[in-house]
Amino acid sequence: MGKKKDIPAKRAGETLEAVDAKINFAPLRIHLDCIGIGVKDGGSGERMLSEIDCQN
Amino acid sequence: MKKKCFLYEGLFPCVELGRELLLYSPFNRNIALVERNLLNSLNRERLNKLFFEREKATRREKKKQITFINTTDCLQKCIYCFNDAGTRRTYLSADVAIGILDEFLYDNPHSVLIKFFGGEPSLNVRLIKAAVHHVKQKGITASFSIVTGGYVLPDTLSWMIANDFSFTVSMDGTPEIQTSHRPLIKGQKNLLSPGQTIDVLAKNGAAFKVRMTVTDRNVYQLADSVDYFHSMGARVIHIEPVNLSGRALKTKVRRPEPKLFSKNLITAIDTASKKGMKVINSSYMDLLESEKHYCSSGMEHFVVGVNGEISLCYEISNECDPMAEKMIFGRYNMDSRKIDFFKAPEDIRCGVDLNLYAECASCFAKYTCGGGCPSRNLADSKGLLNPGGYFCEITKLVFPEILVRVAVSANLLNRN
Repeated sequence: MGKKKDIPAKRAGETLEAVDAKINFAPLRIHLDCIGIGVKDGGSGERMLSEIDCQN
Repeated sequence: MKKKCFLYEGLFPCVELGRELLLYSPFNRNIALVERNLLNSLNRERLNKLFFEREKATRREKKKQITFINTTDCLQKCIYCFNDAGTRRTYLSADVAIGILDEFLYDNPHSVLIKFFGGEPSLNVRLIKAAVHHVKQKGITASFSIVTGGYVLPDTLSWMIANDFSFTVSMDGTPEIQTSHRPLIKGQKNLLSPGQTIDVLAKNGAAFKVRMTVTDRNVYQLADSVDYFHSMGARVIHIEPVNLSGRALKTKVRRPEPKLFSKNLITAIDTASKKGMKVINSSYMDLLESEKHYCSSGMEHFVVGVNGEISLCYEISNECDPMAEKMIFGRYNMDSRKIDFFKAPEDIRCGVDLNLYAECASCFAKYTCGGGCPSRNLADSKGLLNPGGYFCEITKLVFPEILVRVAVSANLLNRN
């Protein structure tokens, strides 16, 4: 898991905006649900997830 | 499994993936895949700007939170119980609980979270009902939660569901593991079993999770346990390795090696994702709520022991505990009906500021793990300011795997 996608290298004279476009962003929150991850304040509206402890 | 990671600009966890870097910003909660040479050039400033100024993270308002240790009595005798429950039968008085609630709620807070813990907290249902009734009578918006072994009277369970409790059912896996980890010592015919309790909770749409403690006995069964709990109706499983305190020190229970636990946890997460379930673990559960402290306990978030002790930690509410001086900061006085505080308010805090941990200074995971639980650090490394240890190793193994999985889910990386 985790093989890179090909991203073209930066060309000379490119604008910052063009460079920005090469940076692939993704919001963490919406993908956590898809990968089976529960976190505090997961944004899924599940009350108990924001009330997590670590007790045995 | 181990990936090379570092802390970019002292702030962002970064996983090295050959020519590219996978970064996570706890400020706007975005991940980004960036070519290494882009990051090292003039665009660094631009990248920082993007990371800080994209969609602002909204922080959840912190609720006041109080946990009552209802009793040390229990129906089970778990081999690792940190409260040594089931051997003593001390019950927190409802009058003491109400008195402490009055002190705690003096400022009529907007909302409060009240938790019931044990032993088996449902054995002290009188306290639970008194506290719920009292808070509702005051007109304070409250949410309630309980951590139970699952052996509950049907009427008590129905009452808690009707009062919108959230539930944590402690269960470690199949019946064989349950018998090995959490033997029943006081069965009653009219009690629900943990499986029946989960069934009732699922059928009633209650908010609940299963809390699974892992030793070397069940570490290989994490993925199978996810399947097992799914078949029972559970959709959220919180998996943690056993903490070696209390009875665990006497029974010589063993926790799994960090690498073994982490590998099996990841397999369990992948199993859960295919079933639409969620797995919680402390190595990443604060991903969206990065903090300089692991634990938020203090004056607005504390634990009440069975004798009215006021503590920062649910594991340390007995004044005989070696950590009592650090964690117990008050006691309810029945004569004055006030809390006698042993410490000044500014000294009432569990966590150590992360920046005081030399070992965490450049760690990529520092703002996610917050330096870890101080009492566990102490047990692991014999020093409050020395967090490196068992849980630290798990975080370093698991956290990068989570970021990579998010990147795959977001199509930043190919699955293979």
